[in-house]
Amino acid sequence: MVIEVKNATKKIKGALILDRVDLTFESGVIYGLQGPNGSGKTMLMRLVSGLIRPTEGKVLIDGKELGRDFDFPPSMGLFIENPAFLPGYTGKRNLELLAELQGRVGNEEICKAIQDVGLDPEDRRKYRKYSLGMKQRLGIAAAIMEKPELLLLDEPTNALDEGGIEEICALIRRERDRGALVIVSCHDRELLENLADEIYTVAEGRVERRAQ
Amino acid sequence: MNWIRVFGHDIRCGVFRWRYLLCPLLVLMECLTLAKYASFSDVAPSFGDMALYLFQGKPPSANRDLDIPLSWLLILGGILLMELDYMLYDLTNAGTQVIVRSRSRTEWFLGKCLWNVLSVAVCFLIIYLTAALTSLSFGGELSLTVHAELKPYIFKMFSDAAPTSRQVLAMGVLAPFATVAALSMLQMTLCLFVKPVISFLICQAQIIIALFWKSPFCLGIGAMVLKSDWVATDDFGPEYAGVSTWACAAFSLAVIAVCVAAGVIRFRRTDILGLEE
Repeated sequence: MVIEVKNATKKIKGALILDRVDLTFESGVIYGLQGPNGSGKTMLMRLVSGLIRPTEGKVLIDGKELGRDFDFPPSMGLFIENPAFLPGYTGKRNLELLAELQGRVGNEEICKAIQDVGLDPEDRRKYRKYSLGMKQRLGIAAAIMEKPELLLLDEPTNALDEGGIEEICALIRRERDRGALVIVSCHDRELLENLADEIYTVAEGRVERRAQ
Repeated sequence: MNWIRVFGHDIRCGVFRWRYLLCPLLVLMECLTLAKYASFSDVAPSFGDMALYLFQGKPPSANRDLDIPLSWLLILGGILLMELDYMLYDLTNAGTQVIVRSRSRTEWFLGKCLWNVLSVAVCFLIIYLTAALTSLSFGGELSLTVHAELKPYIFKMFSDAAPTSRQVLAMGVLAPFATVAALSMLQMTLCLFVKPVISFLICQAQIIIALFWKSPFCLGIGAMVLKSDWVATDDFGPEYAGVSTWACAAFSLAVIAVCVAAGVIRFRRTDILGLEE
């Protein structure tokens, strides 16, 4: 998979959010987006995921234009901002309901995804009873369970303890090794330097590649 | 059919909501008021009496008096308020995962349109269940008969009106449902263009305009029994003549169709942002 962001500008209510962004992402690489709050990291994620449309420019996925040839990337796992699930269902049931929408994976893959993020698939607690860290892990499980070709993770290590961060980083590397194109945004510079193959700095809507 | 799966998500999250249990509160007082009037005449109100009484509205008037039917406003406004937040709430919560998996903005929005009509139907079902239970508890029957003794209370100045059962069903059930479904669809579609609170206020303004206007092309009139031409005749003068209930219902269906089309087109370009953005 190749994603090309071509001269993409995004304005919302007159405010410039992304400014003439030109980027190319390829499969089998972890790309890190680093920058302060409000710099445009999440918006860049939303742009690539198809949740927002560029005011100018375009996003191509394997040569096809997002928003014209398809509404969303065909194989995408998305973890953006705070995870949100149905509070009255267990974590596993939530994933089952999401998996039913595409019908690509069954019970086995769902259980494995839950275990991969360090949760118990047999946990009968409702999602509303989950701690912040558990919610975060379930959000990541939802993103990876269908083995997507594109994995977008916005601040995936928020609310996780040190051990949890290590587990999630190892998981992200496994996804990369499987051949997925992974884009991770994170505040933590040191963490991103350890995890990402390429790092881009986002500031005031401009994106620049950082030498490593 | 992916949109059916998306609709399944909406049934789980948006149709069976606790807030709909407030619907009986919107109508119980009116049902009891009619039951009290019925006791004066020594009759038991039927389901038809109740349905017409709930959706009386305001009669056509030559002098545009400011007599406002508050209970009628409360029913329509209450249902619209209960329907207001679901689409945007879902879009910024669990629905984000659903929409990217549906892979189609159009299918997602069509699912929401179906949800909209179904959830209004649930509200009406609860309202009519309340009316039916009240009627039964006062010894009434589940028929569409209108008692002659209650006509002065139900039809007010048009107490000579003698609608058939079919007309009662149209005026008291079908047209109000089509009208509120259209208003709710309009409200949801407007949320794609303006803030939800503005969308709500526009629909409320439309309902208030309907009180003082008389045209089948004015949303809200279809939910007013006293403005139906089966009830309001020109015996008192042409300014008191009502409008066709079927025409109002047909206009409501047309509004629903236009809202679906406009929403699908608009939603293709709508930015899906988080609550904080």
